[in-house]
Amino acid sequence: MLDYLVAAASEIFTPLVLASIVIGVLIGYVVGALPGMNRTTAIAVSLPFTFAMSPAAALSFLIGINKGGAAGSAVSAILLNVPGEPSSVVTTYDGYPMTKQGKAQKALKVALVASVVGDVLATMALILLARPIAKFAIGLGPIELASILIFSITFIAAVSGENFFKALIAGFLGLLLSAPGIDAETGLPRLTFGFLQLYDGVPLLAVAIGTLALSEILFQVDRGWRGGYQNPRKGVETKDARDSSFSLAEMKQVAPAILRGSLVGTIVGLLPGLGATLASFLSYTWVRRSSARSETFGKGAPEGVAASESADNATVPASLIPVFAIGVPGSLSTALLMGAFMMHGLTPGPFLFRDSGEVVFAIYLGMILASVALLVIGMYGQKLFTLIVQIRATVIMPTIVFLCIVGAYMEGGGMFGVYLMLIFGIVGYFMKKLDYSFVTFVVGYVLGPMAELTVRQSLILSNSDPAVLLDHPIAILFLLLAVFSIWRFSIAGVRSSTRDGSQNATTKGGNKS
Amino acid sequence: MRRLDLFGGVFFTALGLVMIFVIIPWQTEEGMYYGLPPTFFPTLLAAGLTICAVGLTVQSLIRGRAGHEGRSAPISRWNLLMFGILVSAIFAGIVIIDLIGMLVGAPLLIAVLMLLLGERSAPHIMATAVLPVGAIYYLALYVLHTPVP
Repeated sequence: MLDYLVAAASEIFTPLVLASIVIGVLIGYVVGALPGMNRTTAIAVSLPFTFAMSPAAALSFLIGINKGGAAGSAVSAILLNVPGEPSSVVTTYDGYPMTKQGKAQKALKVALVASVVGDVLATMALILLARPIAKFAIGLGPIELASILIFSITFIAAVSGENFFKALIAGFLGLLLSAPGIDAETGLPRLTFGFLQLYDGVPLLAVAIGTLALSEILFQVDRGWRGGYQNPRKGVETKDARDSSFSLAEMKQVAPAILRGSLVGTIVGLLPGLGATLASFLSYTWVRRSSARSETFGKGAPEGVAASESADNATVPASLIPVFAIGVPGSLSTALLMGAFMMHGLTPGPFLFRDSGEVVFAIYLGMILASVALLVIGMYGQKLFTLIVQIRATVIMPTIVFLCIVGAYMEGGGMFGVYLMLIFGIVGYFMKKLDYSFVTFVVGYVLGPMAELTVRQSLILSNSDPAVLLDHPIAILFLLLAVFSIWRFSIAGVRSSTRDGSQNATTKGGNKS
Repeated sequence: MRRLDLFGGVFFTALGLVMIFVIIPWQTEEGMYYGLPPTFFPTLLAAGLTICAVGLTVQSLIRGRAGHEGRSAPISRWNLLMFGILVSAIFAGIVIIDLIGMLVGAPLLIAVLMLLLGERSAPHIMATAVLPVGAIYYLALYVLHTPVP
């Protein structure tokens, strides 16, 4: 353990790595603050720039973007009433009323402290929980792992998107996308259509940048064309110095909200597919209901901002627990981070601690330093971010399109990756428009090789005899949970929607008559 | 939306079947294998895709009968036209970058996109077209030592 810590410290405490962590947090903060942009876009576009870094530096840089993005999204929510990301919608409930009361700086400080505390507590949870879970997961065989993967994908499909079938279709498309390349057993090409560039599989960056970054830009432009681009607006200035300060007494007042938010964010982050938006909603509701001053919520209560932001930031480290422990991502950003692990030669999952323990400890150290950077950048960069939220969309979007092109090129394979990225951008745009879940698609694509390996091994070990499952109670549990998800969200979902539809039709008919 | 779901269901059912019966057998070499053939996993996935797509089709039909139309279609002809123009511009930009390189092609692409999005300030266009390209060119070539288009 001590050896790992020393090796990790010598890896992280170098000027270049420290600078990359600070730059990562700064990029995340800026992107999070820009309305309409999100941290997933930032991670996807930044991924190729990590090729020259060591694995620990690269992952700390990307996790820094994730952390910064979660905290930065509060800036535009508070100043402009426009959430930087969906997870900060709840922050607008009390953040913007505070701005209208001239307490914008106070709201930003509450959001920052809540973000940092939520982030640190969830990072501690990651450090404490990931290793024991990984130790337990080492004992799992391919049959258990295959059933966990099946459950993860069905559960993510069940909780993401409005339609379970569409979410599962997206998941299968993602899994199918991982099939091209050299077959592991025969060494022969599969589904490559004669393209040499596909022998190593469909490039991760073309998929990630196309579906997550370029499609987002196409989607934002589309919205802008429909309703006109939002003109930059200025936040309300604070006149009274007391309104911009955040005293110790106020800190004590919001502390319970921060702790509750951190707990909710950590639990929700652990579970696949639920996401930061649900965490911030749940946290806000819990804090409001348990508050003696619940009537002030929605009118500028600092506890409301604290509850939302602490939960939002706590999901970031917590969502890494299943990635570190069992190699299963539960969200878009963790799927991208898992892709980054693999690009840097690391295999997320139970063996990560055994094979690359020093890198894991270096990432932990990097994450703690990223939390410190978050606090410092948030404290001293507020004036800068107030200006950044006013940058025009017409400047940001073309620049990001350019970064997408450069990023897709950098993975290797020349312009092939760029053209592929454009195709995935178009596919992603239609997926978004027609509500096919992105999360299941990307998670399916990232988990594809592992899913194939475990399913193949399971079938060979069991001789394709289902009775073998009786010796694997954990596998049975997860398969039952997967079946329950399918039943609850497909069959029962169709029944209830049919019933609702019949009632609507009756009501409409009744109204007409 | 229900109608689009129905089309989606039919489209993915057809895609799944084409994958199982045409693309996977045509694009996969069998070779010598011990356990399962290389076509096994893609075929399993394509079968899963087909089953879900049939489920979506049936669900849309049942919802249609029950008079449940869902929300209105999210894509209009205007959206498609604008989307087509934007994608064409990006495609043209990529081709130009491919032919003459990033240093000339990328500022051109950024400028065209800015004009398309309604930006009319010449200094803004000039600055946005030149500064990021120069910065990324320097970063990639002299700091990260990676090739750029």
